[in-house]
Parts: sequence; structure tokens; C-alpha cells
Amino acid sequence: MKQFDVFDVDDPGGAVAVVLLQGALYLDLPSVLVAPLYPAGSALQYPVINPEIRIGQGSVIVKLEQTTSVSPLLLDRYAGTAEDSAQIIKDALDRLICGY
Amino acid sequence: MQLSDWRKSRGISQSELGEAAGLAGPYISQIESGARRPSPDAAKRIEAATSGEVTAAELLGLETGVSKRTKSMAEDAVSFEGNTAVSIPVPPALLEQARAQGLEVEALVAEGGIVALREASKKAWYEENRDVIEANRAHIEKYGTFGQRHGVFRPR
Repeated sequence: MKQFDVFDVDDPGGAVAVVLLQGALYLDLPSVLVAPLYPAGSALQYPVINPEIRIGQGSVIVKLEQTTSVSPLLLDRYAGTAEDSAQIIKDALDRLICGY
Repeated sequence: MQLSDWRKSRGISQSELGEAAGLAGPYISQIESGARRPSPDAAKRIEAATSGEVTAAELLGLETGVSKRTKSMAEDAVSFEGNTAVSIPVPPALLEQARAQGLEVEALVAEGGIVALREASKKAWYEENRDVIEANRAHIEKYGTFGQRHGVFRPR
């Protein structure tokens, strides 16, 4: 398990997966920080702070404002990596936190 | 210059101005009456359609007394005598936003307008994303946040 890995989740709210945001040094903690991923084209997509990224053959949006800490046990279905989009995610997170 | 004054001085209708700017006539009417503030993009379109005679900053309500004075000072370099140039750090993202909205960054800084710029950007963002905000609000009301559904600290 490493930063920007993507894991499928079952979610009644429509998230299809999560991307792991927590850095390598802290991955053995009992909770990890993830952002939920929703299908691209969702009406829930905010510009700038919800970047669209590709995972394998599909596109998803990263709902950064719903970033939350979860149990590592939730992350048991590896689905790929968002490493290629790491900078896009970091930039969007920066905008979310800085507010401009 | 007021948009309605400019338009009347040219003898053109709101529909004609809207067409030139790629905007709907009723939208122009709302902007002129003050019922609605244009989005930054619309303000830039109108600025272009009026050949810059009505600026985006004016339309967005950001060309204040001080910024007008600063413009006047820029036209009359003598007025700068006695002033001291200083370097003020401005976050690049804010500069980018100011330029995108056609604002005079120097005037904003002179007026302590970074706060005003942030407020203007915030207002524009909320205005432009009203539908998405509403969709998210409805979604959260129905399903809760992702953290409430899966988070370590979710209510039990």
C-alpha cells in the first residue's frame, strides 16, 4: 500500500473508490487519509478542487473536500494507482486548503 | 463608465450588446439594473464588446475610488512624486485570478484590496457554481458525507 494507490469501495453514496493521500512515513498508523472518487461527469463535481483523473481505462473525479480518515481495513481491494495524477491532486488540495 | 450610459451613447439595444458579447439580452438588462453581478467571464466579454470603455473591474464592482485615482495617477506621472515604491508579496494564484478578472493589481494592493479580491473571487465562485453546490448539499442531506459513511470517527 502506498500513497496515491486507489482502492475500490462499496458506497451507498456513489463513491466508486478512494485514493490514498497519506504519505509513506505514516502508512502504518491505525487510520489513513483518503479522498473518495466518483464517476466522471457527476453533477457533484466542483471546478478546481475536484480534478478529473484517469485510473486504468476509466475517469473519475477526486472529491477532495470530502477527504476523511478511514481504517486501513477499508482498503482491501486494490484498483490501481493515481500516481500519474499526483501533481494535479496536490495542486487541487493546495487550492482547497489555501482558499484561492 | 456605466454600462447603460455607454450603450445609450452608442444607440444600441441590450439585445445588440448581448449579441456582440455573446450574452443574452435579459442578462445585460439584469447587469445594468444591478439585479445581477456578471461572472468574471461575462464581464470580460462585455469589456471586449465595449472596446474596453466599460471595464471588467467596473462591472464586477471592483474599480473603486482609489483604483480610479491610481489609474489617473498613472496617466499623470507627476502625481507619483514623493511616493516610495515598495515590494509587497502577493500569492501568484491571487495575481492570476486578478488578471483573469481584468483587475488592476497595483490599485488593489494600494487599497489593501487583497481582501476585496478574495471576496470578489469567492462571490464569483459561489455564483458560478450555485447548481453544483446545491447538488452537493442535496447529496449530503440524503447520504451524509463520505466520512460519515466510512470514516474512522463516524457516528455510531
